[in-house]
Amino acid sequence: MSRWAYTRSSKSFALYLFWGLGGAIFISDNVAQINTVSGRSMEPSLSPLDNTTGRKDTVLWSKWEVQSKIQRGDVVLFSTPQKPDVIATKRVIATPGDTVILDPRRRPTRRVSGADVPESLGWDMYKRRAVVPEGHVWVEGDNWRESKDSNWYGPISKSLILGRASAVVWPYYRAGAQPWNDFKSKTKVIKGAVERVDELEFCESLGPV
Amino acid sequence: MLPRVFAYSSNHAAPPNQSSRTPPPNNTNAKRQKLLRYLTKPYAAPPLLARFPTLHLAVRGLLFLLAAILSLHIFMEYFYTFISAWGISMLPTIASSGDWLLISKYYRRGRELGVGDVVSYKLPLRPGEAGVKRILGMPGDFVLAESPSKSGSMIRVPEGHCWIVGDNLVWSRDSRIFGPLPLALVTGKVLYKFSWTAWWNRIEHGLKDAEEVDYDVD
Repeated sequence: MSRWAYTRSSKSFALYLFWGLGGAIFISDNVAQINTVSGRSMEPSLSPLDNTTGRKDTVLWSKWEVQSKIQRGDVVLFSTPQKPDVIATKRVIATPGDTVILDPRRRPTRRVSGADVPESLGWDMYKRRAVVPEGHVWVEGDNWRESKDSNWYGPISKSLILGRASAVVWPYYRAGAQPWNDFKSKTKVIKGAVERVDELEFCESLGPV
Repeated sequence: MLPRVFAYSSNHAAPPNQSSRTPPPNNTNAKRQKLLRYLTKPYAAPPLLARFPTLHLAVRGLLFLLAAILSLHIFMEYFYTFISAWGISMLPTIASSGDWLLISKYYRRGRELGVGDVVSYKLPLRPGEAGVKRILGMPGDFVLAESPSKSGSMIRVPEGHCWIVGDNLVWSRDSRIFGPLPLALVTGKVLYKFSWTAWWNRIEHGLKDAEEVDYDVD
């Protein structure tokens, strides 16, 4: 009884708060994060019922050394390049050095009228071949009808990526599943790699200074 | 001899007739049987603290270490960081080595930033590395695509991006190479620099009001 009375004191409460909150912040910054996917852009694989019943998937994102683990086909969580405070979920289609053969269905247009938007011009300038630069990835949503992705804003930097999807945690009947593995993107990719030039070798190749 | 804090002092007197010269009996079998008994009947085992008298010290130490790591992480991620800078890209402002920077994390993700601020950012071409440059253009501004050039081609900084350039124009890898930087990659604003020779110096934005020179006046 006396022990319980001691642990309920305000000092202990502050300690519990510190451990709980601090631990949660540390884990969500470095190890793993839980986030709900909303919207129709990942429709066949994540939150497929969001548009009809409003049922959304909550996903566990692993953050441990994400940038070095990213491969083609992974689903990633990232900050959108044009809005710093918005995060989005897309699938990695191509990694540095790859050439993406752009899907004409994914050309950026206005949804209803099909009219051109400012991004359509940039898409046309790729001439249906986009080479992914060093340190970047090409991301696309699984639902080609409703997805604002790299076709709109180009390849995104790997530094923007916050996490890699590891499993669905909610709703309970999908918990532990990885539904994105069942979907195969139809966008064609010519695989390649970036030659990383060693800086010291490059400086030495310039000759005596 | 252990220091006083680590020395175990029990209330019980030492068992008699135990000379320190005689080696302890080799009762491996008895020990094993004891461990097995403790494992199968945990309630029969003596309390952990009685078996390992310095356990509470070790736990205390580990908890203190963990608390320090947590607090330091939160402070350095969300309030202020103090790191050493390296490289010649910001040369007149920040030395090539030996300067330490006080970075405020309040300005992360481009919050309340303006043209002329020196910011730290994650390198877009090399994930995992960080740099420090000066902002030359915020969304909607027109900037020179290549600064020391005669072409003078200008581009407009897109929404949610900024244009960053090092102060040492001839030796700096910045937006002139990788294009506009997403504001989400900005991790903070450099407030002060510290070096052992000049101590603390505030890093100002290098903007001046335009001087109106009236050439007609003689």
